[in-house]
Amino acid sequence: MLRRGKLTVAAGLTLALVVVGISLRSGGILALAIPFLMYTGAQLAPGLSRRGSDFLVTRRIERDRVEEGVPLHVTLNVENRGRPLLLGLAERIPAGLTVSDGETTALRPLKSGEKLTLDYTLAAPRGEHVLPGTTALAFGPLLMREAESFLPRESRVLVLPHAERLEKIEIRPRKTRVYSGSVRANVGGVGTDFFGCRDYAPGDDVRRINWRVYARRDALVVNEYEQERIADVGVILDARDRVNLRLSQADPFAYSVRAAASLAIHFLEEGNRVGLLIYGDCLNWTYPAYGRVQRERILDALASARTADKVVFEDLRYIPTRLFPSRSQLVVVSPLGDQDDVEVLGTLRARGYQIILVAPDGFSLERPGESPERDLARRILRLKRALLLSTLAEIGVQVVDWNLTQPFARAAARFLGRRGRRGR
Amino acid sequence: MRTGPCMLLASGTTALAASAFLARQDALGLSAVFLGLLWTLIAASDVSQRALTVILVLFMALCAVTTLAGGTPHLLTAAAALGLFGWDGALAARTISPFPIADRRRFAGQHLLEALALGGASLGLSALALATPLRLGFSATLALGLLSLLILGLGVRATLGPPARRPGRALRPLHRRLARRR
Repeated sequence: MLRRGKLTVAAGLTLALVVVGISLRSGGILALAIPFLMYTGAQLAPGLSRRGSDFLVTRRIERDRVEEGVPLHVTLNVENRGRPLLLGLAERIPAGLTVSDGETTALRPLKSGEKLTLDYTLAAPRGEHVLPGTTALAFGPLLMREAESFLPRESRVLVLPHAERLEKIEIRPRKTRVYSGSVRANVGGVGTDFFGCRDYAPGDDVRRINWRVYARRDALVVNEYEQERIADVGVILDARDRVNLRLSQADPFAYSVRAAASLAIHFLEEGNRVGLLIYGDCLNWTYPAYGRVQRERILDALASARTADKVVFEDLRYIPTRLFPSRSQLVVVSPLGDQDDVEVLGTLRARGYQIILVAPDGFSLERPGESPERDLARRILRLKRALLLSTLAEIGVQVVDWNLTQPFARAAARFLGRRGRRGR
Repeated sequence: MRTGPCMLLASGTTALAASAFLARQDALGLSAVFLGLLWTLIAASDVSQRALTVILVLFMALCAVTTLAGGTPHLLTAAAALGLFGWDGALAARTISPFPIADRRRFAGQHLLEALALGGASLGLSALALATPLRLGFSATLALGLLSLLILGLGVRATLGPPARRPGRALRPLHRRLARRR
């Protein structure tokens, strides 16, 4: 109860005692009112600052863009520009953020011009977080009087998803861009891997003549190597509530976001042109581009990605294929819902897109043995999922069946890396 | 940090109960003991602040009834002062509960000293008032009472001021009203 409430109670009781005392002509009851009168007088005495402008608030955050898991060091300074007082500060920490070190509250006497500093460290999950300000509780010369005010000082922090470093991933889109890169283009020319032979044409490099063929056929033939170019890669993150079911404490969507971030950064670092579509709440589209700026754009979009339950985006059939160049590479990160999703991916495959499906296995986070019914349900759902994935593999989709208890880099190396492909 | 307020509340109710028992009002004394136990329990726990205030009002009513039943005025004034400052201390303890324990401890000590000083002063003042033979007629007492209440009301109004409100429709300039309609 703050000053106004206390004053109301004390003044009300004083009034009541005085009225009753006078009405009954009782000096004893009037004497009872004396402590209340003194208390009310103490509450009314001048000298307590209630204005927020008497405080100068500054907050310094070490970095306003950090990766998941990196601690955030915050320093809050409040300078008293009014009369001396006892100041209580309580930083408002939004839901989701946790204080891992330091104090977010303090109660100290402050002279005029003196500063009160709060140093603390926050652990923040992925997303955009806003520290709105701090609550100040000022006590006047008498501690029975207090005034609460909110000192606004907004600071924004963007916590980016953690991206794992991946081994080389081989993609083979049917169409590539003209610039040289690391994706094999299925076109003969200058490269490192042997592609084929053709008749010699004037102007060809003499060093590329295949002399063995010349000795056998008495005709000049040159070796061709497969050109390596950059490609268009579209990363689609499935953010539908319906498929990202939370079966245990851990959120499978957080894993999907990390996988999407790792893949997007990997393809960008390979020099490719990468775009991102977050499909669920709305069509959150990051236009394809190259380089570091695009990396930051994609991470920004993924930082604020949330699952949503929208009727319009109930199934994958509304993926706007116009956003992705024809016959390019698509990377879909989705736990998959039902047969309809498989049909949509099949249609995309039929249109010439090369598809990698990263399917996080949400069941891998659940502990078996909780109840026989639950175990049976899990087995049925896992069988259904395995059936969907095998159907997709049959139609030429590269499937990454990701057990979430393992790092994504390991799953990617196993299903998409060179060694993994040779091993299978 | 709630020990001080709890002690004040317990002492206040003990004083009230003692006064009631001395006046041979056992029912009032037992009520005071029950109320005191309840009050102390609420102050020590995290039950709502409103309960503390409701019990303060009941406590003061009990003090007034005991006074009318022939209780010792000095003891009852002491009970009222202890109850009031104990109530304030209990509220303050809840207000400062989010702060670090070292800061709270310093605050609690200072607050207790302040409460004892104010309580002592009010006791002295009431003892002086009770000892001073003052004979006033009904109309003079009424006029004095009303005057003191008027001064109290003016003081409260001057300190807190009227609650901030948006100007009513009639006070809003006409051109702004028209702009809003458009």
